[in-house]
Amino acid sequence: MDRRLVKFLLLGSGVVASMLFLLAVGVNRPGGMVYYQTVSEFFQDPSAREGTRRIAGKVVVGSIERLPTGQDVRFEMSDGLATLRVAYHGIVPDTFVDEADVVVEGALGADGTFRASTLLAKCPSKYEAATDRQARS
Amino acid sequence: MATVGHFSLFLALLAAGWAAVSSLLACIQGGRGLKRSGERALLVVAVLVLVAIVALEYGFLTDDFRLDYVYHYSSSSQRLPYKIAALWGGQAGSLLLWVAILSSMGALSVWTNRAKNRALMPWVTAVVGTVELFFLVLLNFIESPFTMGPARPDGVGLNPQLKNFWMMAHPPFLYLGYVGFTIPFAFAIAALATRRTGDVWFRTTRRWTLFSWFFLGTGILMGAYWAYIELGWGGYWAWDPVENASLMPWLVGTAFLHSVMVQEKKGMLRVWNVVLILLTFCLAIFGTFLTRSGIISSVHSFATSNIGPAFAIFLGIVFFGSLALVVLRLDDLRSAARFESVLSRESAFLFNNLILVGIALTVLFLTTFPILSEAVTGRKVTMGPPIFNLVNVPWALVLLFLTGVGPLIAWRRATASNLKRSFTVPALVGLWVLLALLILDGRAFLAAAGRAGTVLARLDVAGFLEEVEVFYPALTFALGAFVLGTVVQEFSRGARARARQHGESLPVALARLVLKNKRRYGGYIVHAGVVVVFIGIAGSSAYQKEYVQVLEPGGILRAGDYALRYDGYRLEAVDDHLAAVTELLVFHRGNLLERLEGEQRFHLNLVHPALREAFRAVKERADRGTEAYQAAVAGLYRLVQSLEATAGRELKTPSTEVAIRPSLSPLAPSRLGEDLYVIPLAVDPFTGQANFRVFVNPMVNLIWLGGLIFLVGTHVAVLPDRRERKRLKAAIALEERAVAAA
Repeated sequence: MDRRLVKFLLLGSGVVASMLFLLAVGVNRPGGMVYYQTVSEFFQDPSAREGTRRIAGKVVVGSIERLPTGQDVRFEMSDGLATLRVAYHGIVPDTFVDEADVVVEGALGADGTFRASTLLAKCPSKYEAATDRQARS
Repeated sequence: MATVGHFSLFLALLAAGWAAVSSLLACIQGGRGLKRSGERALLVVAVLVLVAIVALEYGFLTDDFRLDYVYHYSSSSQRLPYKIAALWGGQAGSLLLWVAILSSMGALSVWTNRAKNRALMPWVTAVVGTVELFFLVLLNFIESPFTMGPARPDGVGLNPQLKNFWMMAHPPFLYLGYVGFTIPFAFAIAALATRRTGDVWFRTTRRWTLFSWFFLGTGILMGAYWAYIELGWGGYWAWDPVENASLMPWLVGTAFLHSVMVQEKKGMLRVWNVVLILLTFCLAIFGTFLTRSGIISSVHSFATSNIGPAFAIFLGIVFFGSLALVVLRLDDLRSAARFESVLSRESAFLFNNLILVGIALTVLFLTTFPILSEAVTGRKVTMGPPIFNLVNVPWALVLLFLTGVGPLIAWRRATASNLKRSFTVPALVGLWVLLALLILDGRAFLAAAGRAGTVLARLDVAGFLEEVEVFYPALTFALGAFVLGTVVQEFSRGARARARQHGESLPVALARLVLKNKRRYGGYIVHAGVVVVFIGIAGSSAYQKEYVQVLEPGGILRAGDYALRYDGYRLEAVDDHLAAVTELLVFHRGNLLERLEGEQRFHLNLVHPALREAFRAVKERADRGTEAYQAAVAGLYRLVQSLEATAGRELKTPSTEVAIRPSLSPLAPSRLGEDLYVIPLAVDPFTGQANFRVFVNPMVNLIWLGGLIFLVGTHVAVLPDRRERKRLKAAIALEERAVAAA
């Protein structure tokens, strides 16, 4: 084969291989790829009380309790099958409202309340539908 | 008017269908009447879709809340610009805007090619017609913006976070970019189908491509700016799926812009170029799909919907169909020329392409992996920003290096003297900057290097890369200096040579030089802009500092060299919200710089009748600023609290107006481009106690400045040019001769 072509192929595959390698390193590093559970999966998991967990669910309507520090909230989250009480300390995002999809990271406390150290919230997609119900009630 | 809109969309669907069918028939049979008919049908689609847009805007402007879409995204108290922009506040309207842009562009391409490219045009109209048809099917049968409901007194209103100038401008810009790539894609398909695979297709669409690429890039920056000033988290980019969706086609489009130059000069990379434009178009459609379908949960996907399967099918057909066409035409795309040396411009472009496409595919993998994982294994997974940075930053740095190398290295094979002449000065500048930075912060760098060495000795690559991250900003600044060095050197060499030859003064020579070589010097300016953006990103992400503190009115927060005095607060009831406005004084080393105001707002749910009446009464009071008015607004806060207790849900959506103090004066070079960024997290409306989160973001304004330079450069490059027109004509003549010979 042409020597120049070999050189190009070697360099090119070097670039591609190093990208794949970095990808593999990144996925396995803390803060990289994280598995998370729904609320009911969390309760069914026998090892739920151990270690740090990530849990996804929806904020239960009317459960938000905002403490005056602005950095503490208590609320309940649910996946429709089970409900979890959560206490969070930290910056509360503006998107955190009734029915918002949230992902919390933390550990279950002895009192059965989940102590979250991170809170990600996504605007409820049915923002309009919720207000519709409100108008009728 | 809703009926008008409904009908015009339906007629547009028929017209687009006819455009696709008649053009395809024209391609097969070659009838001139059919060809004309297909082109006219595209013009008709454009007119009909514009009628639909007008009909929907009419609904917004006249507060016609019988229209579901108007009800959901507007309200009678919404200000006029936001009523207009509410058109693209939701799903159906966004799709309508998409089609409107596409059909206008389709019509424009029919018009500009009315006398040329006659052999390609039926295929172009067939492709454009088909894409329009797909979106019109969605609009007519799945997501109609003209669905009617009962008469309603008032609307829900636009999501408060979308009420921002940049958010109004950002989607149209992004769509112009996404949609624009349809035209070069259509020409590529036409070239393949008609076996006219020379230079004509991309020379004809050169400015379409640049235009789309520019709007996509600008749209991305606007989105970042919006996120920065509106979402109130101190950052501008989070590797969110929706952000990634716009970045991917831009990256591949960038690769395409570069690699077509190799085809222009050397006739090489012909397969690669077709694949790149195909990929760009597919990623643009995929981006629209990700944004509009809500398939991946994202911080700002404002939509979940049932358009997913339709999109997936369409995307599959487009991707595999056009890929099959490329494979069928492989023989036509073969080129005679070969790569001669690794040290050459074509090779620099090839590696730039490899990296750009590599980064785009990495981002694609990381963005879509959560869907795949859940579908295949049922396990839910998220991909954090650290992975994106770990994988992409090192390669982005190599890319930055190539930005300096590519334009100056010789074609075919670089000789030692070419390298020496082009790169000695810029390389010295870059090295000097690197050394200066390393020495300035020597102890930290030495410590990091030591740690990196010991970590590497344990074969812990992740740990090693984490330690090395400390060097990224210094490397970025050094490489940036190198690239800027090459750009400045090119401008000054060119201008001086011209001044000598033509006996002109230096400024005149410089201006004429740029105007005579718009593409080349426009490109250099774009490169300079990209470097400035890189520097801004490196500085603001590496040196950001954060401070959080609870303050009573009169309290002071220290943030590095800044001090922030919380003077007081006032309450307001305006627009559709209650606001607690905090008044702050900013000091730098004891000197008063500026008065700032940051707000915490509660957008009220005004569909609740008791609240609506009370809010209107306070809003209409004329005694703003008095204590009585303050007490009245405080009363509204109490009313919300008590109503929430009985309603059992929150009746407010919070939003934050951050206070930003940029430092733009060149008199303070060490702070140039720095922002003091203040977020009032929680303001007690009764006592005024407030919790402030403060960021010092160095160099962040360089990102926006780089965007402006990018804008200037692209404009220089797309200015009409006589030489470009001549080249296009020559390419068309050559193509015709080749076709006649075959």
